[in-house]
Amino acid sequence: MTMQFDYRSKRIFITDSTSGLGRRFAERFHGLGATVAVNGPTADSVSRAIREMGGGSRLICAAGDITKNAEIRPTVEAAIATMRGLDVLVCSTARGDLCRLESVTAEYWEAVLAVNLKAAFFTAQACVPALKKSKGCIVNVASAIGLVAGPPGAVVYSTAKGAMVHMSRMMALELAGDGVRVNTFCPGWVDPPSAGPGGGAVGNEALDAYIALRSPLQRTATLDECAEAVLFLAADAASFTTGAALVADGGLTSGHYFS
Amino acid sequence: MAINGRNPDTVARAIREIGGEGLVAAPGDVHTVEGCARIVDAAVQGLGGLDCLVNNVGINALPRMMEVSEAHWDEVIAVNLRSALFCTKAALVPLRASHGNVVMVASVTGLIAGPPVGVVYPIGKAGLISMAKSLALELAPDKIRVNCICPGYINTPMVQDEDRLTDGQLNRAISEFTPLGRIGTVRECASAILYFASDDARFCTGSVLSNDGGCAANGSWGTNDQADNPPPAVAPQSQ
Repeated sequence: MTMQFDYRSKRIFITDSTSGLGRRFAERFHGLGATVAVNGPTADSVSRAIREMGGGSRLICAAGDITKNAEIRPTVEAAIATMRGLDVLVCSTARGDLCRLESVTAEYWEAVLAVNLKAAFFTAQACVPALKKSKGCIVNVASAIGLVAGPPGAVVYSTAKGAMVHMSRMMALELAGDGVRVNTFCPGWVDPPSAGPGGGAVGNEALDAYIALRSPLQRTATLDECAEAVLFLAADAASFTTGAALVADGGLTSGHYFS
Repeated sequence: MAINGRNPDTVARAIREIGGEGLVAAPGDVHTVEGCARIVDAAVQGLGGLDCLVNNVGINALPRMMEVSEAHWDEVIAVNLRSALFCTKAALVPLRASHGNVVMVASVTGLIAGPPVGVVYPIGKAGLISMAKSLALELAPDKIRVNCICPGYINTPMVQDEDRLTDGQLNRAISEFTPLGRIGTVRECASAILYFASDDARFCTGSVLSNDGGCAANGSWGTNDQADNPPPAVAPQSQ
């Protein structure tokens, strides 16, 4: 049995939702009746994603590169105007490539921090007036390694995601009086978008062996398992949950696992 | 020991006031990535090596979430977070040679969410705590330890500036929500750093030590203010 969510008449803005996790979030919210603003850096990528999802009046084009601060407000405000309001913001923009400390450049730092942290802060800031009106909520997509240390090479990503988890707590306290909830979703290893149903492999032999050894559930998460965690946090079912970090990581952050 | 500050005059004055042998001036601004490298290079050259790097810088201002500008965000993240990474990077070679260690000075505000003023500061400090843990793993094979202290409210010039900005509310609030009922001293912070830097802590890496009079354990429950706001006679049901 799965939980039944009803998102009919709900208006959702999802950052970076033309592919990967964000795309699956968009598909699931849309499938449950929501109107979804699909975001990506270019109008072409957004139009293609909307076409692939079947089009229709409940899929809104919200093209704009939100890693560029100047593009955030116009992109968000146009989408909110089209949807006549906003109930849920999902910040799912992420970049997680590895780079060890001695190779980190100023450019790499700026790019990783902008994508994983700064974009989420300023997108939330732009959405707050509409969310206050609807008593809506924000779900920030961070990572299990925002809660525990990342593997070697993940230091900048882990720094940004750790900051993001705490940013959600700060926003949760700031906006609690307005009835706006803010939570974080922390996935562990996730299937690549090309994976078939069932999950279990990222397609890199060494990484798959590592995951089987170190992850208690011995597999990756499916995109749907991630989407379901986000659907829960955004739903009325989570009406007393704010400032929380929900992991769906196969047990990764619970401790040191020996298979 | 190498002393850093933005202004060469204040660095020289600090060295005079501390007195004694073996003090090296390493003035410079950690606002830029290049500045971080220059400061650490000067320090390492003056000291002839490096055993411990303390990433201690911190700036704050008090905008609420809706008032944060991009310029404020960029400055606080650059100084409070980015500088720690690039100073550590610049110190890698001498720290590898000495099997040395790094101490990050974060904040209790990076552990538990606090008052809604100055929202970027706690975000940066939480990032610093994550950075310390990940660097501890990455640098463990080099026998470099990385640890982190989380001071609570300490009687520093920054906190006293904030107290003036809030008409004395901050100091009153500190004594109310700090279980030990007072503000901390700079010496109490120094003790925690000395421990991590010493051989006594040779098995500590990736550690996060609260040094906050009990604030992090306290959360938002409040303790010493209960004379004015007593708990209800019937406690709410809890698990």
